[in-house]
Amino acid sequence: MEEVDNIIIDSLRNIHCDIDDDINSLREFTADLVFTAIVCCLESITPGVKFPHKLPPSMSLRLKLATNIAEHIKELGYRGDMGYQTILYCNEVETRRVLMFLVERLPRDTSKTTVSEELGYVPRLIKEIENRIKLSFEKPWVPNCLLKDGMRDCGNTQLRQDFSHGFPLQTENIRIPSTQGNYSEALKKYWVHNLPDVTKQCNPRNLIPSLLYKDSEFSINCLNLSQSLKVDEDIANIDVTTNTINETNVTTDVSLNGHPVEENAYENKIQCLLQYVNNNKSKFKELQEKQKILEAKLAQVSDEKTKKETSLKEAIARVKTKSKALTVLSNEENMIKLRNLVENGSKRLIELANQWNQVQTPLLTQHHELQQNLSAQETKVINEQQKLQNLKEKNHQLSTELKEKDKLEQQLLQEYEKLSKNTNRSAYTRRILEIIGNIKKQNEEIQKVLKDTKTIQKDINNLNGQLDRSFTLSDELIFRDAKRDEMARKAYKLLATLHTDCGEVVQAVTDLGLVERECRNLQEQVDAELAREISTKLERVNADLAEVKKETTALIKQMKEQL
Amino acid sequence: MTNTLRQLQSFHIIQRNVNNEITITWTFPSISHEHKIMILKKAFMLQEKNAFNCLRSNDWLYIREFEIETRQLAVCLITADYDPNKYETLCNILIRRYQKTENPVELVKLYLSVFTQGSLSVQENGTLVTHDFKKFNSITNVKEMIKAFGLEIILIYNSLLLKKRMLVYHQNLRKLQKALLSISKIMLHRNPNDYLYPHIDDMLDARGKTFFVAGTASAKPPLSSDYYDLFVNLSSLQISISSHAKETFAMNKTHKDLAIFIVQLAENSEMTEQQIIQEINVKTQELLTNLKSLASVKISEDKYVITLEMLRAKKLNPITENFLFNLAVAENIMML
Repeated sequence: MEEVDNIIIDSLRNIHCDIDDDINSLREFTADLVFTAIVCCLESITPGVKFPHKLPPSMSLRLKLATNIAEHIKELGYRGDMGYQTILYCNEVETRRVLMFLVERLPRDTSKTTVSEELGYVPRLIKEIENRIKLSFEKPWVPNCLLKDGMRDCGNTQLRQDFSHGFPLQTENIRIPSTQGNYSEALKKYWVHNLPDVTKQCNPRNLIPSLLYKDSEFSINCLNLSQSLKVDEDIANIDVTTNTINETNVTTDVSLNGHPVEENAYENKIQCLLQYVNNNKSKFKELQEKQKILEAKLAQVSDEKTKKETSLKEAIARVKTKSKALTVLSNEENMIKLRNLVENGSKRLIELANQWNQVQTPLLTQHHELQQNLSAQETKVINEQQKLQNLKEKNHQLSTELKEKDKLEQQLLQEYEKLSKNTNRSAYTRRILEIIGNIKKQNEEIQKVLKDTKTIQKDINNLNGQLDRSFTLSDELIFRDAKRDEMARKAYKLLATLHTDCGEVVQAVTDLGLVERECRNLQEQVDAELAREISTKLERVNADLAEVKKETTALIKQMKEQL
Repeated sequence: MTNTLRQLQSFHIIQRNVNNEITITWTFPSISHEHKIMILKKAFMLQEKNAFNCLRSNDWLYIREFEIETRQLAVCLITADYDPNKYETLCNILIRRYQKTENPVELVKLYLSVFTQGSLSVQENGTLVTHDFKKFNSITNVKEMIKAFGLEIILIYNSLLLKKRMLVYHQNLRKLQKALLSISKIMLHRNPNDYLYPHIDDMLDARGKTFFVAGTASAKPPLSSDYYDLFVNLSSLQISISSHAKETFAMNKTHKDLAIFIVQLAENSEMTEQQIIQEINVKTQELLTNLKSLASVKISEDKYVITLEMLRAKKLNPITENFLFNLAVAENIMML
């Protein structure tokens, strides 16, 4: 039991429970100490709930607190008898049980994980956003018109609060060369050599807006031009002139905003020119179409002519060859010559084929052999590759296992070092082994005793049986003789009385044994009852009740005085 | 019968290794790249032993497989015309010589004699046998086919006459080839080089063509029915017309007469194959001369054409008119 107490006191000290160094066993624990110990345990088991660490002096409060704590302990799952009396009127055995239960439930030390600083762009960005938003929440609201340029100073950073501080874009008229349509060489020259850069034509601040505007203006202008003029690609010069005329007109129109009369004159001119241009264009188109048709016809006719010429040539050639062949064939000698030629040709071919065969066959066989070697080697390679793969996998597996085992080893080492060195483990193990040995011996002894009782019971049964049989036997024998002999009759009666007396004796012995057993049971019950100490408890409860009554009356008096 | 002397192009000996590699061990006189690829792909495509296969890729390839002591070999003949029986016999002769001597040069000799003289002489069982390849009569089974199909044979005839697209199916390649040979003999004045594709298994070969007779051995037709007009199923002896070609195959009296005539020819047990083919040819020529008599408009030196107005002027039955119109287009004497 001492080791158990030591364990409990050590663990209580570990959770920062104030226990004097003198105290070494639970017998020396006072009610206050028990209370503080239980409270410390509960606080570490259930971190949310807080209890006072000392018992208050007043009896009722003490009772209340104690019952509260007892309920908590019951909620945790404690199965034994638990009430305020176990805390206030402590019994060594019961306090030991309660504290063991609580110590078992103490949470293990968890390693504190350090908050790893997250690196990476996105988490950092998110953190910044969070900080910014927190900052903006902390500051009191200020109307936007009071801020300069919409920015707000907050220490070392600036918060933008107003987004309406933009200013309108301003454009300037810049001249850009156009890529659509054909322009005169002079204009192009001007664009290439003389036109200043766009960046120099206007204020850098207005550059982008003016470029954008120019882009949209140009597309609108182009649409209008194409609708009104019906631009034709071939008539380049007229186009250029009309374009330039229109451009200058448009620009002059834009610049001379208050001159409507001059506009009309220009418009009339434009109309006349446009009509003239349109007429010319339609005539030109008709002529073009005619030309195309004629060209196509010309192409067709020339094609036909060439075809016919080629066919004619071919026919002439064929006729020539046929006539030649006919003349040759008609001659018998030529036929013989031809046949000889053919035979010679075929002989030569056969010779060549022979030569080729001679060259080829060894090469072919070599080719076959090499192919077979190659395929054999390929299969070997595949096998080797598979083996390698297997080995690699095994290696990988073993290395992962090794890593895990290393980790485990380190962990266990750490835990071992953390464990307090006070606890003498070998003593505990020795004690436990001793206890186990004792229990085994006791078990053996019990088994022996049981065996003995069994054998004795058997003997009794045997003897009983023997007795009955011998009695019946002798009874019969003597009864047979008893009919004739006087002595036998007497002997029979004596036998009967002997039997009944012996039976009574046996009965008395068994009754004695039963009664002794009952005595032992009753004695045990009496001891148990004494251990309960009900009388002392009753006295205590009565005393408590009296105190509580006193306190209530005192409180009532106080209240009445205050009222 | 085309002249053998001009049609033979080359012959090759092919060998297949244990790990299914195909090598061409001997070629005479040369081989083009296309042919090489085709041979390497398809030389042993038939799963049966000692198979004879006929392929097409602008020229005709005839491949015959054989075995020498567990080695798998094949002989391939490349020609310019379609005559499977003739070339099969030639292949067999070559193979027998090779099995005896295993010397490709001997085969060259045989080949050259056929090439130059059109015939060759072989020692067989002690006697000298001469094969004349100039006049070779193919073994056809037109009679059998006519008997099998009955009056429906006119559909095949019509399709060939009007230059339509026909797909023939039989799962046994040999029977398919025999049937294709017979079909090609029904219409003699059409050249098989123009239209016959004995074996197609992908759509590309025949998709762009307007006139073909294609054979296939795969149960699922490799072409969708948009691509052919007539489907002849030899194993079940059924002929089906695609839905979009029904008007072109409409029949009239001339067709019926022809059909009855052909069936009668077949039933006549005294007629040989050659005679049947000749008779059908005669009838076809009659039909064509009738058509040509309608052609009176002269466009060029010796070309007479029929115009549409003339045809309409005849005021014929619309089916007949349609038929004559299609026939004239097929024979190239229609003025469009």
